[in-house]
Amino acid sequence: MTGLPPPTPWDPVRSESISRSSTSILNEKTLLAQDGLTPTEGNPQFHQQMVYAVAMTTIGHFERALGRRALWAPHYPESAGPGGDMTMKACEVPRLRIYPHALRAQNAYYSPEKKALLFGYFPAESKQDDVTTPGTTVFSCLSSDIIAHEMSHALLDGLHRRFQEASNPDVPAFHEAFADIVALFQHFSLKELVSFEMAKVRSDVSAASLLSGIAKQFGEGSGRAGPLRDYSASDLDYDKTFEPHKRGSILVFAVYQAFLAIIDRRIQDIVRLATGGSGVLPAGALHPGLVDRLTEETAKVAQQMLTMCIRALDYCPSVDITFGEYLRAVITADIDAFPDDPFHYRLAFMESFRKLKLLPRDVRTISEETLAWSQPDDPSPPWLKGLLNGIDMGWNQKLDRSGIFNLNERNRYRLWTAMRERFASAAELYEQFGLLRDLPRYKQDGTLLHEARKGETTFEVFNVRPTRRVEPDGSFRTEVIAVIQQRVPVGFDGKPVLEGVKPGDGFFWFRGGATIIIDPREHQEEIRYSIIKNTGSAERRERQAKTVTANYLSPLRALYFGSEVSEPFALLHACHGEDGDNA
Amino acid sequence: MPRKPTTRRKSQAGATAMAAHAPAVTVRHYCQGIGDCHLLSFKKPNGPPFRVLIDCGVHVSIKGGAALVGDIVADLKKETGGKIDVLVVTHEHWDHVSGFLTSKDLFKDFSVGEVWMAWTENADDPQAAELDKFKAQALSALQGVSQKLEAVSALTPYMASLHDGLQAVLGFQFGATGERVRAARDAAAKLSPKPPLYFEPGGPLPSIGDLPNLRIYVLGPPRDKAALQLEEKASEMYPLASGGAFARALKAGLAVNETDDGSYLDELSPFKSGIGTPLSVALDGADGEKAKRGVETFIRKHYSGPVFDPSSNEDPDQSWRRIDADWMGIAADLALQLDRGVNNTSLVLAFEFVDSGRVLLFPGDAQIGNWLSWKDLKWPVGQATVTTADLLARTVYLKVAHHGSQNATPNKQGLDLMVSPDLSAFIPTNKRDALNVHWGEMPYDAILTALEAKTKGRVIRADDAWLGDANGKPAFASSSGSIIAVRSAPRDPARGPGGLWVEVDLI
Repeated sequence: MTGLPPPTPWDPVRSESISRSSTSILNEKTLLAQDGLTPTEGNPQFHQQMVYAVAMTTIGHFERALGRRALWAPHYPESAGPGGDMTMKACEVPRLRIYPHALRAQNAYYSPEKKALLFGYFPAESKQDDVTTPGTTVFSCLSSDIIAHEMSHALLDGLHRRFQEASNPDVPAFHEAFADIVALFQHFSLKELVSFEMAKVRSDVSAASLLSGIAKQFGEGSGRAGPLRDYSASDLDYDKTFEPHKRGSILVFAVYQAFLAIIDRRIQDIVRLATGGSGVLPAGALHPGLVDRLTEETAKVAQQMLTMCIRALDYCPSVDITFGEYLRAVITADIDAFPDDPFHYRLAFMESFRKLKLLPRDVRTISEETLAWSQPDDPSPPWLKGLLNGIDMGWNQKLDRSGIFNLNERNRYRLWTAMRERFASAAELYEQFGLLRDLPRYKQDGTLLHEARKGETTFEVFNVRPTRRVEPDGSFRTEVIAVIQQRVPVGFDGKPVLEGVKPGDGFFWFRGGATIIIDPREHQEEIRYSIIKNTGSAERRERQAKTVTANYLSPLRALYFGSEVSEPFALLHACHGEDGDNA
Repeated sequence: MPRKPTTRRKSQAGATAMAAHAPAVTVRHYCQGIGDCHLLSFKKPNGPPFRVLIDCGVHVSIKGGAALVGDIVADLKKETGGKIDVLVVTHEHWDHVSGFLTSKDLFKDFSVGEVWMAWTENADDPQAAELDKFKAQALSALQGVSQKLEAVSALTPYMASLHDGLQAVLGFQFGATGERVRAARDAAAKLSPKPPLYFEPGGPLPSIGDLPNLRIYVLGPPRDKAALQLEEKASEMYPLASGGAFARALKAGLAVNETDDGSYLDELSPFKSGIGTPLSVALDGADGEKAKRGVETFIRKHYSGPVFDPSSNEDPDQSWRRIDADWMGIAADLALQLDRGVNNTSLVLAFEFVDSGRVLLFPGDAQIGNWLSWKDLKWPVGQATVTTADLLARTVYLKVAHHGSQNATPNKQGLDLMVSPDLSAFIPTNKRDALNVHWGEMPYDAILTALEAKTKGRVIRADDAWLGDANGKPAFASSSGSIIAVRSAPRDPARGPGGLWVEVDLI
């Protein structure tokens, strides 16, 4: 199953559906037999086909990298659960909706509220590029980079729903940056594009020069400002840049620099062969054979980088991510997948993150060991035994997405029950999981629902998910990632309101807890990593209070349209810090 | 390095001692909250004081605002005898000009010497005319969207926030009964028998013959379109006069929606005409055309009806996913562009006393773009050159822009440059009123904190509680910094609690 219906052919601006006849045309056998419609801008059905194809490619990358089916973020209908808690029941969203012609604007966005991608169209501007005739319509749904970018937002949201909450300046920046990273490497894995640009290069065969043309094209082709900009240089300072696009572009730049370093290392021998060891090419065009080999390497590394960056998502904290923690996740995930690193991929990442000052703040020396998440002192504590007994990961079943969703929901509940028992018998565990004791349960509006029962606390099992991968020795490895969280309402002054806020008072949710990665093999269960975000951390709480009130994106918009926006990505793509002092 | 003007030689201590008995100027701020009205009275060598009135208005969302402004105008009459030497209209927003229309019967008896405005209000200025067309186009598009949203019964959260935001922004453009802000501005212009004088940075400085000790600098609004922040990105294709890309898209979209017969030629249509099925047709299936049946079924199954073939854990209702109105989301961008743009047309004046070198700054509602544009301004004064940094460094009194919102007082190019230990400030704002209309932080907390520290507590807010008490006193010592005396008067209790005006003697 695809997880996606054919994109809907309806144009809401014109309030009409764009289609000549039956919409099922894209599935017609005669059409499928000839590899689909031929590219024509004037045919709306080709637009649908294009969006569908690129979207499916991106889904494919995610599913391969994570070793499981990708699910969309669930929907929480407005129905009161027991005791008036509005967000009790998660409903499955089996399909993402994609509207290729949803907006009349130079914008495209993922709507977390509607679980949909909305693409815009707009008249071309003369100066934008000379190929497009001024006044003709430009369709954002025909840019594979934009489609990949928006799809990545949707897929990331499906996995890390809390990354919608701007709890520190890195979080919204990460959402943007990650979407760009996926689009970037998806772009670089298209061999035709890469070799076309590479063939234009003269004399300088460093990765930076070989790929500058295509990187520039990528930045311009996106049709909007933001991180997809100029990759030849970045003078942005992480310590002083807070506007999400600019901050995000620092992360993209860091990953891109690592990419270049890896390619340089991988093509050393080819360049040496081609130049007779001098490193200097004869004047004129590159040999087509050389272009082929360089393209091959580039596309291969791009694909590897894509997998590496996506796989890291399983090793990220589920709330309040920082760029430094993302680096930790990349390094740890890669060590797990490839203990041996002959081309020094990880070194390349560490180097470029160090240069751009993106390292985690608590790192003193830079090495794989210090950057990887650490294993707990006691990886097999007694409480872990049998913890996953009731958990069925469906390893041996052929399940469709709905089946997986149902299984996940059951597992969440079972793990919650099991954890609750263990917490009750060993209260010191709360601290190990970064949880506060005796935390009451709150309603969605921040008011008190009820106090915690004596000796217990309020927590949720946010997520239980399986990963699968093939070890270097060919064996098959499975792991379980469990996310345990709780939330505290905090006033805008940064003070937690443990007794619950008064109805109507302003507050934000402050979240904390643990992401633990468990080796579930029976009788040798082991915690491989535990990533803690303490709910009691005053420092994190104050950082979030500062971020919430700073309105880094657009203070003016926050003033009239509220700082809590229901379409965060529409906004993110539409404004670029016009009203900020730190622009 | 520019030399300091020769006039600024007197030591600060000397100036303070000398002027302790004789304020250089008295400023009466009216306390209507979200709205500006300031009366500056300069002492003349002989005769009655020279009166400068800056703006007179209140935001339309303030309940009883018009009556309160009526009281204000009556007080102005009492205080000045109806004689205003210079009326400054900073920019065309309801909260700065409403009084000239709603209290026009009271203003009728005033005699106004000159009216000063920014170049952006000059109909004979080609650039201003272009700007004006943009404003008109943008407004009509926003009104159209607002009306369309009114007609929708159940708005999604996204559309509800869009609707509220549009109301807030349109509230700067219209009175309670739909009066246009233009009428109010024009009523102000007509108060003087002479035509208004238009000023711009780099142009001739306004001068007042009666006040040889006063020099007035014009810092904004800038001529540079980018500084006015009216454009989305660098758009070369569409002149501002067409309303820009947002207004154009919205207007075409609204027009398509309004015509049923398809007679409207939609120049922004993505495909050639004839491709497509109207949503109404697809939804009610009235159209008998067999060829389009597939579309109808598809729309009902996957868009409008109950979920087709739901999975066990799915919400059978799919109406929450519809995007019927989401294309109007760009109205928010347009509204912000308009609001930001008009605020940036604020006439920014700095009043400098020649003998002491001390400066009062009245930035109107200037936002970031306007503030940043002052950076390179220079004025030759005698043998020396005065820069913006000089003026800001010597600023001892600030009227805080845009009711203390975050986007109208920059740090780096603003507060950080105001280094005078005597700095004091007034904020025309009312937090409760702003909350009532669901605005975000107005005034903005970080600006309050910064000002509080800079002025050592010498900040007066229009909603300060002590202003409502006839014997109220500010928390700071009323002779400190640039303020040597503070007086205030409470409102008529019929207008609710709070102050009517607060008056400071400044040196």
